[in-house]
Amino acid sequence: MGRYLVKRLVFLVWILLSVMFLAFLIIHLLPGDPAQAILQQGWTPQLGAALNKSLGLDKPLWQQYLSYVWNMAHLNFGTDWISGQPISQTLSQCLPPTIEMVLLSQLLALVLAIPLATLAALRPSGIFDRLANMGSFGLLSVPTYVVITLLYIPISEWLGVPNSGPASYVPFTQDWLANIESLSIPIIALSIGSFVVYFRVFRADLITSLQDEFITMARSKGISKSRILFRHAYRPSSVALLSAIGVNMAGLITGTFIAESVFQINGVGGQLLQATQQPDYQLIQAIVFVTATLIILINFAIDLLTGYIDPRISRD
Amino acid sequence: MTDYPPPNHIQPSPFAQSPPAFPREDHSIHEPAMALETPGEIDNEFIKEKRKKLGWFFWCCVVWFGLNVFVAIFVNFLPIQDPTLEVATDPNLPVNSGPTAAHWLGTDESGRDIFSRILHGSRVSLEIGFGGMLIGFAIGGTLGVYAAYRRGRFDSLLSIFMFTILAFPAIVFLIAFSAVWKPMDLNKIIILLSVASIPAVYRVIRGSTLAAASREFITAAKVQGASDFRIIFKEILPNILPTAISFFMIGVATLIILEGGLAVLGVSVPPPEPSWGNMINEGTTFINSPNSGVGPWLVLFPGIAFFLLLLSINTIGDKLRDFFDVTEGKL
Amino acid sequence: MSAESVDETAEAVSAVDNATPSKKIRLLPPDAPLLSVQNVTTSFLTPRGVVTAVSDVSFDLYTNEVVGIVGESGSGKTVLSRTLMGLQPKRGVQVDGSIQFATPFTGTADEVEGPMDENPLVGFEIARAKESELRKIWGTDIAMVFQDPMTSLNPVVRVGTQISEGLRVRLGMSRANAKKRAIELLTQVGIPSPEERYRMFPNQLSGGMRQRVMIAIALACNPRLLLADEPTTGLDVTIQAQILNLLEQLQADYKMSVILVTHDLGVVATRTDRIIVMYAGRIVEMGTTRDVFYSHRMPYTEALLGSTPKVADPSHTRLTTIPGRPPDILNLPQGCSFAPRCKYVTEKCLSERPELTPSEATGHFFACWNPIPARAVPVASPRASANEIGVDSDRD
Repeated sequence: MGRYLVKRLVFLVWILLSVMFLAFLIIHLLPGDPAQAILQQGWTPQLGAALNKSLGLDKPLWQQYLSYVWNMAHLNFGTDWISGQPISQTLSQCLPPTIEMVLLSQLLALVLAIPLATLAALRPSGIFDRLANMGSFGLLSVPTYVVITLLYIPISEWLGVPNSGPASYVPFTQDWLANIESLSIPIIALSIGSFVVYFRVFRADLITSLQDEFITMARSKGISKSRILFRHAYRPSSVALLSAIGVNMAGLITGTFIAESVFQINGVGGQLLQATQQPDYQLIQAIVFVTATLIILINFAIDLLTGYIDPRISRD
Repeated sequence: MTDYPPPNHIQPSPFAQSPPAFPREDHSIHEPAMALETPGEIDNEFIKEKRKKLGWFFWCCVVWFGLNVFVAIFVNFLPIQDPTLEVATDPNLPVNSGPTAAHWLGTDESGRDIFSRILHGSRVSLEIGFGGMLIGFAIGGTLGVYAAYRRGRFDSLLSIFMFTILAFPAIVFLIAFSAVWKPMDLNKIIILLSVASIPAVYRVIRGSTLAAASREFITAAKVQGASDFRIIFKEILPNILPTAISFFMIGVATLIILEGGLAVLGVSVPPPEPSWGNMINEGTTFINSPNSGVGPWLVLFPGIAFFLLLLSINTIGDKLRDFFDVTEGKL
Repeated sequence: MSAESVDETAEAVSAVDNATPSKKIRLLPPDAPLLSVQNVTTSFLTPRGVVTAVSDVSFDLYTNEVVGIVGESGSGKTVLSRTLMGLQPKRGVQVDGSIQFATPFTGTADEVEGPMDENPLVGFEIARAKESELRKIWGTDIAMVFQDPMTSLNPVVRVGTQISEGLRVRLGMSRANAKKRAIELLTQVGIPSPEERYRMFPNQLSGGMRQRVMIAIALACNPRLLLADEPTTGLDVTIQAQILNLLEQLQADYKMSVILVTHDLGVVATRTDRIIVMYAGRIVEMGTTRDVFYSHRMPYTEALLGSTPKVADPSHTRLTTIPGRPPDILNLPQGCSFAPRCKYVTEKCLSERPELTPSEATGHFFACWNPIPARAVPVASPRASANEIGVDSDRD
């Protein structure tokens, strides 16, 4: 475990450095002049040069990079060149709804996927298993954005869930019920997409696990079915499920961005899209860095957890 | 260096955008096995291989897929309305109409025919799906085979590089790139998506090449003095082909979904170019401004088009994998 | 025997199943065998039809007895051992016949038909029992050592937990006591520094160690019958001998009955009281180890013995091989299954299947139309020694 931990940590640091580098590249190596973007119509060569100087954009690239790395490592994102608002403040406003959607949808997906996958795996090729397998294969082909959009009709129009329409996001601190209501459609839609993946992965792995010889061995000890399931089959199968969660994370982020865009929620995705309209390079950079870092940290945690659960992975 | 990727039991989908991953071999269709009750060692020998069949559903999917390809190629010669013809140029066009005899699937806010736009949109989806994956396979696949066959320093460095890119959340970077690389067009999208797919293709192809190259018959061929070229093309490639084909199909489906997502976010091929993602993006108006008269069918019809195309692609990939998979038929 | 009469026999001996208040329980006689196997047939229902892996197997096993089941791969010995254990899946597999396991009777005298003796025994019908009933005897009365410790130990559960699990769940031991007992077991099966190994995962142990752990798991709850299914197949020869010696010693210590399933005659030669030779799912010869080695009547047994190398042979002695291939169980010949490979084959062998018939010696049976003549068997200790028989078994 020790060596595994060190390896994963080294890889984590390396990935984070690469993310920083790439986020830096986006702004500095691609065509487009930040000063021009900031000043827009009012841009003149003189004004642009003066602005570049005040922003430190006239310095050599390596100096800019070093100060950028220094700032990012301290989570010091600076002040927005365009709005004048501290970027950390913008982030603290737009992160909560996104994180909430991710967490709640994953929770819902797992709460549904694990028992249903178990039910299907206990009788493979049974009626329930066949139906669930076919249904989930079909749902794989339904893009999340179609679900997000179409769920509006049953939830908002037929059921009339309050606050579930567009532009009605309520912060959690203000009213928790209204908050959940306002995110209900994205959460349900996102959880459907994740559920399908988790159900399929966990079901298939559980079926394989339950056919392993060590399950027969556990049976021959005379321990109960539920104990065999929870103690002997769930553990190896949860490794596959955890990997699936990690792999699914990036797709989930796409889903939340779309949900934010459709329902006009001021989350990370909405903010990022706004920033690309400007284009507000600094904000793009900060959002790219923060989002990528969060996803990478989640995957890091998953790696550690799988290493803990399955000693074959952490020992090599 | 081989232990860098997270230990997945599932096939990774291109840069981790679902749809997933077909998990560890799925025996459920073939076997009479039961939960908590393992068949003994010997009955595997008894239960002889069931004759593999692709099934009628597979052929339905092939037909639907072929129809999409046909439409994508010959859409300009089909007797359908111009997808960009709108009420501004032809005031007689109905706006936001539901399905009628003249407009089978209705019209949108600008009076454009939805049916015609869906037919034209299949071209964008297929071009992006297949174009992106072909480039991804040409680069990622070649590198993967070569790295796994050569091993050594080249493989180590390339693998670190690829797994680094693989750890990035692609969507964030795609959006960011779209901001600085304006204006977006179809070719740029294909390039971005194929670049994003290279590491995933590399990883899968490298993995199956490694598995194939370590088999005894490869060693035997080497000992007999076969050339590298011959070993790669005659011995390794046929062995990784099933994996490659099914991953290619999954990848195509993934890229199509991802492009649709970018379009819904408004950062893909710019309108008025008809693409299903763009249509859904326009369709979301029915949520945001209920009085605009836009009906949910503007989301529903392209959604169905997405569903049927993706279902046929996923099914083709899935069934082909089962069909070619030699290990699966054993039980 | 027809399927109908098999059912009748099964019902007659199955006492536990029929234990209803109106019907009194019939106890087993005090000298009843520990395990009484009657006409057991195991069939798999496959897409290509019914495949019978074990046909009409009958034998008795007594307390403290070690019986070897020998046969080539595909002879049905593994299926038989799992059937005896009751581990075969219920769906897709059909088990006919009766497997009666003698268990102590715990009820009162008025539930019983006839007088009750000092240690009353009652038959537990394994072939008919539900999994929930089987769970009551698995581990505590009948345990199994599996073939491949690599796949039959759970790779993500610590070795210690896998041993103490049975103790805690089945015997209700406290965590601390179970741990103490598990470490004791690890010491007994010859694992050095057991406290350390207790916390390890299976992949941290060598193959021999893993098989020792398997044995510790099987012995944990003190079973009366141990089924060892090819316990040494995947191991190095020297480790094989160690494991077999360990099993032999533990059999004596724990006063268990053991069924040792193997394809290797060397394994069973010195360590069994009796040997059952199987071919194509049937018993073809059965008798005491000495009878089978010295006075085998069945040509298959002769061929099997002939193909085993012996230390006494001069160098470069060609091993006898059995011509032909093991039979295709899906497509068995009409007569004797071994007939196509037998050098004594006659017309009758091809058309009619020989039943098990008694030989001169007590308890010695064979199934052959043209048996090899009986020979004199040297008198010796109950368990024959390797040197006498001339089979190269272990060298320790």
